[in-house]
Amino acid sequence: MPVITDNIKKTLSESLYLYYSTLKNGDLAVLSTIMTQESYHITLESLGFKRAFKDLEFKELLKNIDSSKEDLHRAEKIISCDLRADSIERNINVADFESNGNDRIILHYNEDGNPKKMYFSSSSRKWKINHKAGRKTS
Amino acid sequence: MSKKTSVNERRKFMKILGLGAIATASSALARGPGGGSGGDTVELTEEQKDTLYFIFQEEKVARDVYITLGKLYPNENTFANIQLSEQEHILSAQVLCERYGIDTSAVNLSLEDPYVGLFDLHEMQKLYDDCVALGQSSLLEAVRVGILIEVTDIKDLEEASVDMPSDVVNVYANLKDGSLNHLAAFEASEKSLLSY
Repeated sequence: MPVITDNIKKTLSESLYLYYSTLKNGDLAVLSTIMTQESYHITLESLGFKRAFKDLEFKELLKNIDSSKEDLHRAEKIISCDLRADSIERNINVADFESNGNDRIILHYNEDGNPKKMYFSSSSRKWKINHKAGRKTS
Repeated sequence: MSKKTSVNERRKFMKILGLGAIATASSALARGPGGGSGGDTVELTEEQKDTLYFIFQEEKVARDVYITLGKLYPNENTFANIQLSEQEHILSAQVLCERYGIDTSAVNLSLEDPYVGLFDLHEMQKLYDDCVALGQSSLLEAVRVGILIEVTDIKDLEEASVDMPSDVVNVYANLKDGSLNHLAAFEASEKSLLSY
């Protein structure tokens, strides 16, 4: 089991805080750089869900973000505006780091007092948020 | 796994993951290789295992939404009836994971507070919270949340077969029946509410 160094802990913690700050200020360009592409799209779908429930045109946009860059950009624009309008501040505290195989780490943290997990995977020595890296592999 | 499959399976998430239906497939799988499904059991790729586990986590979202909306609207029998089915779905999803050696112990499936409506991933928490918030506004909206979940379940089932082992694929057809029944119940409820 690989050791989780202080450097790695710092990197992952910074990603976690950056993740929440981008959700607050709607900076999706930054958000997209700290997540795997698949996870980023999952996050966009989650962020856009409530609007999509009521707005059929937006729902169609969201459906196409994997296949159409134009629709992706249009959806990002709308979601970004919504995030900025909501500007939700979360109280985030890192709790623990758990190795999950050779190239995965689970970051345990508290979001407004509720326990949460952020899954990370490493590729080419770069750690990224990966929602599908939660399966225990060790 | 092909890119197409990966995207399709990932998309289950937003669609509220209805994966309920896919999860139910595990009931048949639990009977063993070829147990009624006529399938050949194969090894899943690591990516497919990740997807199955993700789906299992997602399944809890649908179940918990129905439980919470059922408590909000105790006189709406549709939620109560479908809750039972959804619980079976999630347990089946667990069986499916375990059948392929995937550890599910990190997900607490308890029906007690505070576990219902509590999720490890922020994204799943948000989906649950949004569904409940939408459903809280009125019974009609709650029923429409149910319709959305079931519609996406059915669509996902049709997409999910791609590149998956035949023992999983063969049971998907049975699963659609459950979701179609749920959908019909929600649509009847919506129609009834609109007629008042």
